Amino acid sequence: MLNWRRLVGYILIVLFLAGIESAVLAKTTVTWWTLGPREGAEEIKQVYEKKNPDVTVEALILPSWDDLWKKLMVAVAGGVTPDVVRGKDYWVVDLASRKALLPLDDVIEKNKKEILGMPPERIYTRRIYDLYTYQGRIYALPFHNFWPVLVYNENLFKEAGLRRAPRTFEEFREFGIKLTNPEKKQWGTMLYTYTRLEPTLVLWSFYVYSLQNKAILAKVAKETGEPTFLLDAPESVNTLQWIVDSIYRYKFCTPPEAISPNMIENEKVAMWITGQFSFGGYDRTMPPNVKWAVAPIPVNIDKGIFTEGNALFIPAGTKNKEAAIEFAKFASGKEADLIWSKWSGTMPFRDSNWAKPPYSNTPRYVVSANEMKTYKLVFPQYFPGYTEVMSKVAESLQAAFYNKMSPLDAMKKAQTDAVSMAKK
Amino acid sequence: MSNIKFKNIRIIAWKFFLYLLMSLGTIIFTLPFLWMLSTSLKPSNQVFIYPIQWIPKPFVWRNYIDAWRSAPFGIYYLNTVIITVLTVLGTVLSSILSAYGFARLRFKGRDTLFLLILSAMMLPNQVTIIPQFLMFKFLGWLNTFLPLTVPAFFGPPFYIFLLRQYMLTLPTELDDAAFIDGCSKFQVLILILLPLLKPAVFTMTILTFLASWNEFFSPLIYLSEMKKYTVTLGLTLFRGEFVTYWNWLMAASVVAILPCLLIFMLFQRYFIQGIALTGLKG
Amino acid sequence: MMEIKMKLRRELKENIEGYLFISPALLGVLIFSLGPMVASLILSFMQYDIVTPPRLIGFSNFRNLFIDPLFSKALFNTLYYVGGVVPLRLIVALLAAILLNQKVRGVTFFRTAYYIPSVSAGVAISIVWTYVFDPQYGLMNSVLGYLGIPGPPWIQSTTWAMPALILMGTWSIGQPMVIFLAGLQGIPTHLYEAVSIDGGNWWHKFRYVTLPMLTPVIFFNMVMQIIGTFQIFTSVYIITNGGPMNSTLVYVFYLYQQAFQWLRMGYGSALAWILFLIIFILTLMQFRISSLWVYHE
Repeated sequence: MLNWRRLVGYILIVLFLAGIESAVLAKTTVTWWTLGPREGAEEIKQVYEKKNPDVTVEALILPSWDDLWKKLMVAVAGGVTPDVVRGKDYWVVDLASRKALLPLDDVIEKNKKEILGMPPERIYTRRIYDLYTYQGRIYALPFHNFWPVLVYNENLFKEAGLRRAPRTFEEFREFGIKLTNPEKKQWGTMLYTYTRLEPTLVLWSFYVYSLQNKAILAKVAKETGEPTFLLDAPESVNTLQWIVDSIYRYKFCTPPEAISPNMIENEKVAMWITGQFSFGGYDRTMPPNVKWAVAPIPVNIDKGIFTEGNALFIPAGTKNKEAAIEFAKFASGKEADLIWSKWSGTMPFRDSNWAKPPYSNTPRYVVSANEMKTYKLVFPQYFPGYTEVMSKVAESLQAAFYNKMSPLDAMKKAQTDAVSMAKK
Repeated sequence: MSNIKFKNIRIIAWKFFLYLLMSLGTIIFTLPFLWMLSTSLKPSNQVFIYPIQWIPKPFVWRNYIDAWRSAPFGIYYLNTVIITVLTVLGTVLSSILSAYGFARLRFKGRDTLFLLILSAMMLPNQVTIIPQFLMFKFLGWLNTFLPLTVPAFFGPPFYIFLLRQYMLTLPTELDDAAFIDGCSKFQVLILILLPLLKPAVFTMTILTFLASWNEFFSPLIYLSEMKKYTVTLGLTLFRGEFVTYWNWLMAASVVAILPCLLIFMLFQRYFIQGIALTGLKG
Repeated sequence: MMEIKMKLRRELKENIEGYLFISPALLGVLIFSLGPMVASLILSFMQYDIVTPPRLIGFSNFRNLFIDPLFSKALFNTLYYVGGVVPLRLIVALLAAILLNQKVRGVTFFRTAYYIPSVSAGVAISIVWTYVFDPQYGLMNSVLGYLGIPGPPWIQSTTWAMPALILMGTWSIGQPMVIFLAGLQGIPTHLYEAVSIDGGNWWHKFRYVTLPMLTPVIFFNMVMQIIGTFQIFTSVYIITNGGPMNSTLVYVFYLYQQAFQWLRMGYGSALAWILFLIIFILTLMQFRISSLWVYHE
């Protein structure tokens, strides 16, 4: 039979351990939710802590945007929110309309020079703050942005007898067909959207091709913030058709059921469209024999590109307002910009940082910078409920990618879904 | 003479056939674990090979160290241990008390109330999760271990049911003798029945331990700070960050499952008998 | 007169003692089961997104539920899963129990081995199965490859994702198997002897003794398994996230999405109550039909 005294002893120990976690901390803690790479977040945290010895930054690194959104929503539901969140830029208006965020206008006003940069950064003028504006108030600070470029495998190109990257979408298709070799299970290109339905990835794939066909998914009225959806417009349908054809008609894009892990590293894909955020990962995981290069994204009708990014926002329920604001300012600032870009491989979002190496002299960055300077920049338009509506739209898009619906039907359904959801 | 020989051969053949079948099943049921173990010890370049190479060359024990270091598994373990121990404690205590009441004591409405408890057993967890969440939010218990441990102290219906069934099979003579000697109901429970309940309590402990250790839905909803995460939550974070590092992931999974396997191995004798004994009377 | 008074007093004392002992359970049922059920019902008539106060909207949630294509998809998927796993699991568990009921040396080792899958339920094992089902390098397709069968794309395909989950679910037979074992051991051997004497073989024994005597156990397992499998969540969250294309969107996962991802607490409560009703009706039906086939002593 158990020794009762011993049992009570064990219970006390366990309760004591449980009590430890409610110990009082002398420092202020700022909880920061973000995505990887981990080293970037760690360095930003460490630099900030060194400058502010009375503050501890607790960085929670989440695996994906979908995961972060889910956790954030549960936190908002429970009223136990982190202090600073790095999230997708289109979440800002969504969350602000749910009264979940702290407005940051006065912060921005007071620190105009520090935040907006001096002189005002060319790309991130008032427009980016427009993205974070809801009903006249600004709710986020920029963290970093990226835009699509073409990355290709030089070896595979050489094998197929191609000397340069495609410049137009016709060439993209032409080269793609040449680069596809079904016996070797090798494909011209691939889409990043299959196994897990992450709306961000599905939409990314769509956006990448959409501007080339002049497709805009929604127009948002400035005064009311209400969206008018253009999902079933011919341009949008054509875009989707183009993508679906690349999979099932011209067969140079990997179909969903042929996706395997590490296709890029295993040289099973010749070219693909991605953002600068991938560069850091490639540096770390690409085997040395794989030669990858960056070219501007091909053009079609219009030389348009879009930029998408992450923003820093502060949930309304935060208990450390001042500390959160200070940290957000730092994480959105010039120094953090460089730190983050170093680890993630992206371009800094302040183009004043582009004049410094490695951004001034490494081909991948020079190409990216030129693309940004010479293409027409279009910002997608965001509205309250964007996240959920676009998740729904992504389902229709994915149905087309899986060949379960024709592009026309898919876009028609997307339009109906979006309209009925936005009504609620 | 030949008759006996023939019979012996038949028996041996039959036994051989049985062992063959049993081994086949064993392979099916343990293969994923073996694969998990094998992959966890592989160097990265041997993971994506077809056909499968079962024995890694060499054995990369380092994977375990790397995986452990890449995430605060120590904290996850500590949190999960705390939660699990408290849950087991609460379940055992409250179930014993309640089951005793239903099995041995007589009071008005006993059987109706027992039916009530039984019907609560058939209630899926998710039906009550939203109001429970809101209730805990109101109490300010979110992001603590309380929502995960306190309900255990209120008599989870399933274990009350099991324990009561088991108690019903125990003889009442000793109880009666003790009553005559002037013992209170509580004393009878502690001094007389408790020793007899050992197998059932053991089984309950193991079942509760496993359920609590592997719990995912509740921690997912109630815990928002990483330093409070359980092993299950920590594992999902880890998986997200190292999604292509199959070997690390398998190592982390082995580490996560290990306590369950150990507990099971140590107590499997009580286990299989106990579940059978308590779960039989439906 | 005095005797009656004393008897009443004794009864009162016994009642109080009884209630005291079961008080944790009673309180538990009230606070964590009944109370939330009632609250859930009330919430289902409201629209509540946490940030703004709840708003009464009558039957809107239920009306939307019935025209919601994802609701019917979630229900269908869940029924698909339950209808696949429960029979398979019970059959395999029964066969395994019969197999392991033999008195041979080392049978406890095998019983342990067969039980192991149930020990590791949850996130870790779901992660392992994600890779087991990988179309190119996973265990499943490798094994199929040895047998000369080309493996399907499993969780990357809309047709094969749910079967993958069903397979994974069937693999865990420990719980019902052990109960079947106990049930088998409870069958009096003289019944088997009677069949032998009448000239019956193993099939007759099985058909006329084992099966009928096991029916109460089968019934118990069936009821518990159906209730349990209806609640599938973790493996979907970890392995497929509801996809591809909602082909594995199961009921509880949908509920979680609506309530905790999009903060529709009212709609989520409506979903929860419908789930309860479905399970309740199913269980009730099972109990009703049970008198037809379950052997009672």
